[in-house]
Amino acid sequence: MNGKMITTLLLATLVLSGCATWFDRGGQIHRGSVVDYLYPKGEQPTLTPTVPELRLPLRVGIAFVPGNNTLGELPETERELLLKRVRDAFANRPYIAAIEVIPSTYLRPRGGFDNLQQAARMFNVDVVALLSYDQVQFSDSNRLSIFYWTIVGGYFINGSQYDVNTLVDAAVFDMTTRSLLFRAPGTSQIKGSSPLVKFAEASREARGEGYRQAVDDLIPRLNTQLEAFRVRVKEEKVARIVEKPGYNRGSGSVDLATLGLLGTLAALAMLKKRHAG
Amino acid sequence: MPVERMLLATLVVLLAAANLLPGEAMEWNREAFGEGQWWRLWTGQFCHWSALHLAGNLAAVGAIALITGRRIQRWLSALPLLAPLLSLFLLAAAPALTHYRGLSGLVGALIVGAALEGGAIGRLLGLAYLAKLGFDAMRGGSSPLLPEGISTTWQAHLGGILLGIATAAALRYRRAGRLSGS
Repeated sequence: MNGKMITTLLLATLVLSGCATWFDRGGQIHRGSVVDYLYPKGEQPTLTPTVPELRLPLRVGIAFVPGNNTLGELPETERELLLKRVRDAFANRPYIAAIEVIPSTYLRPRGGFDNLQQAARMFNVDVVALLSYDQVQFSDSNRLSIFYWTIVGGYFINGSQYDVNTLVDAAVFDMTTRSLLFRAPGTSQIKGSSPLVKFAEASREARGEGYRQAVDDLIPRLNTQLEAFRVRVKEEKVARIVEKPGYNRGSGSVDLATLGLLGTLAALAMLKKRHAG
Repeated sequence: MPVERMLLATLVVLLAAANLLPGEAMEWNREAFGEGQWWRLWTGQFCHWSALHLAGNLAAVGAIALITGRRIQRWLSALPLLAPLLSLFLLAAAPALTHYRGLSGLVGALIVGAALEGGAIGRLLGLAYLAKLGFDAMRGGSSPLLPEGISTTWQAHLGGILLGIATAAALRYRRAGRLSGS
């Protein structure tokens, strides 16, 4: 093989590998749908006119909908961290006795309500907040990727870009009646770029950050929906509140009549002092 | 008086800690006493179910202070000592009670102070409060300042009044001791 031929082969290799990186690498989709999980055979939700009975203090379970277990999905440890963030945001409520994090390994993909109720019994919870998710990552190369042809550019030039869109949706179900109590979404969008050799790592980190930001967005919205649900329980009687036997929460509180009396007498005392002075 | 100042400082610390730290760790909790969490005897009387609940009770303390005048200070300084006694009273007097939060039991003790040291208006307050307590004991009390599902524990108010009477007796005994000493 002469020198001319070797040079031609090398050039061809370089050009072809450059073309490979130039083209769009497409995207990734990670999805865990609450409908696919709870109604795997496409059955219709039963519409029974029952009013859920919520026994206070509630024991709440929280779990991610099991996904399709594809490579690149959020690891279980990361899922637990996210669920703990939601748990910590809602733990300090007088009507919640405990919030249990249910690992995804306790739920079967497309397991339906039967599977969810099994897990709820195992963790001894009355209601379950199911977090479904939909994350789409678009990846492509920008103009700077032309420097990848130099090979060194693949290490230092941010020629690959990603755009990660995440939706996390929390749906809270009563386990006895299987009815949806309330739901709230959280979203995030992350854009970034990286050199070719670090692209897998950078985009994986962006996907994790996408989930974290979506959960941060979800928490205040879930809180708003929870408060709205409490109002609906009070005014529209969408659920019946019952206190569990042996559970009696009391308080040392003055009522409005006592406050009114104290206010009037305090005003009288002030007037009297002013007159005396 | 340094002891009184120290007790007032303790009151402020208790009030701040009980309302800033997580309520589940601070509240009066019958089960938790069995596990040795004795700090709840103090903090349970100072922590609250909500900011509105706290604001209502603090407004009541403010009004009592206006009625009683400067003499309220020694009654306020007694609260850190009365808090665990009231908690123990609740253990016996409200056997069904599992969780409790709120200052108004101790407000009952301050009302005794107002009745004794706040002149005619203070006495009027004492009488009206007793009538209200009787009404709550018969009918069961609730307050719009409280979150849903939580009722007013009238036994705490009764305990506060009884401890207020005991405090008045102790103060009188101390005063008599000082007079005979001099």
